[in-house]
Amino acid sequence: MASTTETKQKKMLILKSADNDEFEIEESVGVQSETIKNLVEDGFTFVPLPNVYTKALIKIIDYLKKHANKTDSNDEEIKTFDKDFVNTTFDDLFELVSAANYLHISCLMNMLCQTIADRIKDKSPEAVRKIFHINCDYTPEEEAKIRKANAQAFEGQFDESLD
Amino acid sequence: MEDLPNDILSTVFFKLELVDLHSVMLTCRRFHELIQDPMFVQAHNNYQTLLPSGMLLYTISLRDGTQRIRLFGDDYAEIALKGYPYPRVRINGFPYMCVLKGIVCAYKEELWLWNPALVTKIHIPTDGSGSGTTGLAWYNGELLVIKIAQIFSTANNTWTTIQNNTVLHTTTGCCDMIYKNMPYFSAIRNGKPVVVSFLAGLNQFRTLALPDEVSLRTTTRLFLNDEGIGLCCLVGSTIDIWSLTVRDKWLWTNKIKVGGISEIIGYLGTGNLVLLIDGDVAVFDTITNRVITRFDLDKKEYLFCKAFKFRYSIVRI
Repeated sequence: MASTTETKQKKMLILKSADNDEFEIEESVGVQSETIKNLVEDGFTFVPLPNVYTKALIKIIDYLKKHANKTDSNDEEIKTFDKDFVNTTFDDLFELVSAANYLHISCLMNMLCQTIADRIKDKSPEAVRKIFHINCDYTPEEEAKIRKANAQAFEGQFDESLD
Repeated sequence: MEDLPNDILSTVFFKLELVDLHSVMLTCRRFHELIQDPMFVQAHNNYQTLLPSGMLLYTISLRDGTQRIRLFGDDYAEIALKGYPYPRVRINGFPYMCVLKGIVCAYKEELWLWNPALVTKIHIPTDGSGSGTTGLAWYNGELLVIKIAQIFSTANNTWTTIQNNTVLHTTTGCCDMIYKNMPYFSAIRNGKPVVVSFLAGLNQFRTLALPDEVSLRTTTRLFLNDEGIGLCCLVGSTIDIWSLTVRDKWLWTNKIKVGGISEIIGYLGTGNLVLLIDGDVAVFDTITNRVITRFDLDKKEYLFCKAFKFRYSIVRI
């Protein structure tokens, strides 16, 4: 928690999560989020975030603090931090990506989407369903049809010229 | 967990290659509709084409024998590459190098696959056995490393020996081009120059005879032209251009005369050849018959040099 003297030197913001937890951060850290930046420009210092839960908010504040102190010399350190940051479950990643999207933090959004994409790449349709918690709503005939249509499309890329 | 909104899903999905979208489309109606949506298709195309592209130049230095890979953008300005994996050691004999889908594969003492766009690399163990030529193929959503008698599967992490293989001697030490995801090599068979392609589905090599006019003494360099497979041959200071017809016959299409050419080192698409002219690396437009650009590079760096058309990609290895 920042002392009163520090508060005078640095402008502080209070973020309130969807579970009503409050976090005090420096303004310069917070404005990396476009959503927060817009509110700050409108004179707000208390920012309710009804779409962001505490668990995700703690991680995102960590991320913002780390990236606010970006210099040439700590490039490697930030890379390691980012790597650890995304090394989590799919459910956590989805929670984070929703929060990053709401907060409009483009570099974080980009990193999270890339991570999810990399991790679902090469997965079977069944695995993708489990990851996204969705049920297959195709009839077996429909599924076979899509499978066939795609198989032809992909074969076309390889075969044509080669007998 | 609440469902992710469509705009987030789209952002995730357009970072996937077309091949990978296949299994995503099969998961459910919602994902299928999202990927087939014209807006998504547009966004996907845009994302893919926004990635930088240009000419990849592979060189062995005359000064100290080390290999080096540099990328020049479409405006021919150098783009810095990250995560260079190849050891800086003196190279003896032919190095092997090729690129496919933004993945660089170079091999001499050690075999590495490298994606400079994602700064990812993997080391591929080799038993050091004789057959050296390396090419890359893309088959069934998987990247394969092709040697003359072995294939490395990046999905299974194993080498497989190719059965019924005819012994070949390649002339350029690495595959000359990759067309429709399959590598093509120039090679010598029964004392005659030939073109060899690799059929990944069948794990076989296929040999194509060259035009009768192309003798062993001719410097040949395969390239891809807009209609299919083309071949350019350097004799003296003249380049003959041939194209392959559907019936596997070569058709002579063009003759180009340029002074001072010593080597054809690459093809960049749309008729642009990369040549060594008076020892300089230069891009030559075969359609307008003009040198488009000459690179002002240190000639001592070019004991051996090859150029490749290259586009950053998000293919994982």
